[in-house]
Amino acid sequence: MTEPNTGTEPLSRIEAALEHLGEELEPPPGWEARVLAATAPPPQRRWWRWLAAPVGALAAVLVFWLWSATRVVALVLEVTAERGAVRGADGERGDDGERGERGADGERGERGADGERGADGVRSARVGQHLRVHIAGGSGHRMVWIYHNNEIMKRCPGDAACGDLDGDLGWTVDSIGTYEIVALDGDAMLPALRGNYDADLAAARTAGFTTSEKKVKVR
Amino acid sequence: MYRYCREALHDASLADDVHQQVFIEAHRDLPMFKRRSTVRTWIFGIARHRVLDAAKSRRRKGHYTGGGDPTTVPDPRPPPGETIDDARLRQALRHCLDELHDRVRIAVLLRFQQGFTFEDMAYVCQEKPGTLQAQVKRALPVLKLCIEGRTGGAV
Repeated sequence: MTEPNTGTEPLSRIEAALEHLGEELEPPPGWEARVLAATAPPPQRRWWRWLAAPVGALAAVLVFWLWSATRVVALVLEVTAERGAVRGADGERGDDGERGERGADGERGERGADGERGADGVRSARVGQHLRVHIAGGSGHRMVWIYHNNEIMKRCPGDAACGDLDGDLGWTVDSIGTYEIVALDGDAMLPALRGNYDADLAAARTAGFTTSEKKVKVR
Repeated sequence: MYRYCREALHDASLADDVHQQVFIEAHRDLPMFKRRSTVRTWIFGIARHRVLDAAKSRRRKGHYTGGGDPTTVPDPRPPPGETIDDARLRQALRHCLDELHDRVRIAVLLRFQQGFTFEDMAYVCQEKPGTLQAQVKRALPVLKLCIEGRTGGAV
């Protein structure tokens, strides 16, 4: 477009036409609604939703911590008899695997290398066999007391040749009778002991110890 | 505002979008409005930027061929030497405005269609009032020549 060489023409018609230019035009219907929709603030998430995840994680940690802090691990006592038992005085075989009579709980035990076994460990043995005591669980101070015919024979820890409570605690039975084995777990003050199985067990329970007992008959 | 967008862009669909965008931006930026002008002037300042952006984008895409707006279909020419009527003048004016530079076309529309003073236009266009005045003064004879060339009649 070329630059005109005039600046004095009456341009009022053009100015008037410009003034009325587009008078007939209207914005498309609904434009206000579209603007409002576009400017509407996004729906706000409730403030507590931002906290849900961290609070949930914190609660899970807290619950786990409380659970592990208050969890009581049950005290387990097991008595086993080692192989290589000697033949008993009455001539019964102890290591040939012959089947034994049913145990007190109705389960069929096995007589043989480990003597008579119930579902919860050995219940009988022969003189000369080596008995082993295994304890597990518990959450406090653990002890094992071993009695022979109701009289104290060994306290562990404390007595010499006790071995390790978590590993090798055993002895070779050298006389017939009943061996009472007690595992104790607790942090209470140890009561005065009489050296008698029934009395000591009752005293320990009264003091708050958790106990687990086994009896092994030796013939 | 809508008239301004339509005549500045000469494209109904593009003008609809720009018009809507201007109000969305005005709504968004209203808290930043410092009241150094009227709200109308401020909004036209936004509109000018959006119009220039849209025109530039259209040119870059190469889609615009001119005369796309159905309101600008030219009427038949009047007999030679006869003064053209208002309707025909407006049709020709639209085409001739479209041939002006974007910034000049916007200045002409702001001055005559929207009735802004050169001081207000200076705020809208971020240019000196004298510069705008000169642009508008030079544009009018150009439009006159263009219209007369298109219609064959006297303005």
